Amino acid sequence: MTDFKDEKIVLSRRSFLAAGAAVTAAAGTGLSLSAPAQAAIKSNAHIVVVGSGLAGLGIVNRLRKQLDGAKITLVDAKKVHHYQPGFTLIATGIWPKEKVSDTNQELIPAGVEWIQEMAKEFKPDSNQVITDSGKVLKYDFLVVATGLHLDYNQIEGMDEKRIGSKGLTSVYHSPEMAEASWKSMDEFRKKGGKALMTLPGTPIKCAGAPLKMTFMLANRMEQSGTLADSEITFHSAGTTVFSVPVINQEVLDRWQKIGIPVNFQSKLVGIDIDAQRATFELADGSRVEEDYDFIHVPPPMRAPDSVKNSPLAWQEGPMAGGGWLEVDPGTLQHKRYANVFGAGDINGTGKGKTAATVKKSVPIIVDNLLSVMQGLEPKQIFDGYTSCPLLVREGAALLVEFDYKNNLTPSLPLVQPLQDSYFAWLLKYRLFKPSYMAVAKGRL
Amino acid sequence: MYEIWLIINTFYELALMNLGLIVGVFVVWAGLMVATQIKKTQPWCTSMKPALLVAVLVWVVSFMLVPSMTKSSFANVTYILDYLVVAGVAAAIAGLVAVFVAPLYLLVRR
Repeated sequence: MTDFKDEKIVLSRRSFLAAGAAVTAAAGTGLSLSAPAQAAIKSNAHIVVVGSGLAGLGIVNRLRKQLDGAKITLVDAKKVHHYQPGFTLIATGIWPKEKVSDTNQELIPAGVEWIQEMAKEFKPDSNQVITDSGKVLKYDFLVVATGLHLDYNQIEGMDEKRIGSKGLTSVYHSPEMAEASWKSMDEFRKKGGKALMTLPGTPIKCAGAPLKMTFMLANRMEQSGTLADSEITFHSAGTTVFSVPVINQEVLDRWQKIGIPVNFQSKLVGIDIDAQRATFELADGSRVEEDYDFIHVPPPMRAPDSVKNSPLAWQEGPMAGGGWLEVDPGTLQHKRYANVFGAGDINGTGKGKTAATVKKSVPIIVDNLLSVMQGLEPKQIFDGYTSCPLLVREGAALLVEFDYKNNLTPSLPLVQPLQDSYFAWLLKYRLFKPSYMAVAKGRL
Repeated sequence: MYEIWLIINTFYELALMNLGLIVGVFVVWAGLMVATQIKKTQPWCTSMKPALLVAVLVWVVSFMLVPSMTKSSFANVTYILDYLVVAGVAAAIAGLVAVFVAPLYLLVRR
């Protein structure tokens, strides 16, 4: 590991008082909820956080509260923050797209320097981040929270701009394209036909989204009375549709009942949008073409070039191909650069590219970072918690929670993960966004 | 403990998202309360029984309607946790109605 200790960094947990009550009214409107009692640590370190998604925002908000005197810099050109878990609700006609967008300005705390540029290059050996304008940021500690890259280019003939036309849909791209996807789904469900639902072979964020789209398409067609005379087929590039065996089997059983066959090891590699024809590569390398009236295209995903092409990426192993960040799955500290941590989708861990993972891991990352800043070893261990409110139809969902080891880990004792549930639906429909915002503001 | 903090934060953010509505409702309620003081209505205890009766009625109706108010249906309420959640939401609605009924009753019966 790189020796990063810097004599200039002055830290002493003992020299500072524990601050704050559990719930306090704060400055301004008086309408504010503070985090539970926490120690403020004095430091003059410079911490750079790259990425202003949920993970990046949660990190800077927490660091701002828990550090006294440190310089915190957030690097990201994005000005609008999207609540991405809401994209499936938009793409299935449940939410309008306006419900998922907030401004980053409102979510970045005062006292955090916001550089509105993208990180172009990471130089961890010299503790530097280079922005796309060429600005050099020198850091003492770095948190990489860039998110991931939607690599539509891996599908020959794919054009994201045409999502919403000719039966082409994709829930992941943006709120606008999720809305366009719903318009396509709405048109298709009224007349029926042949639908192809796909799943790429790379790690993907919200791995339940392609399954939700499939369940909801079937449900919408059932509502329109076109399901019986239509055909929905699911193509998975791998050998499963979900990484947790018990959930995988549950989904397959449900699809069998409603007549959705699954083709395994059938990877979408090409699409002719005008001809409405998809090309799949099979396990033996052969290719087959299928015509469709409706297709859902979750793109292959990988690390952004800035991380993929840097020394921070996995150099070997299954995560190296996607250029994912090489972090310890427990501490989420970089395995070779001890002053670097990873947060959110960029992490090259076994699973968990979800908001739920961010919710549970961000406090651990911050705690471990603070330990490292004090010259201690990281002591908090993340178990890989993640969650998927799996929509099975309008009005019902499964609340699936699990960890790295595929153990089902329901948060409440009464939750039955394999039971269709109104409660799970209500969480997704009304309550997850508020809790998401609390995570972004560093309170959860 | 974490779950309690999670719930507090979730409802706090939910309140922030609906701040205009909440302030509007509060202003109307505060107006009713002020009116009961100005107009020297009957003692408060006289409004408790009718408020409770209305609350029970509203709870029963809400219990049946809450799922459909959230793009679902009662057919999707399938096990104990679902029933507890629906009962809780219905109780919140009933409670809210009751705090309006009490001053309204006093104003009508003065």
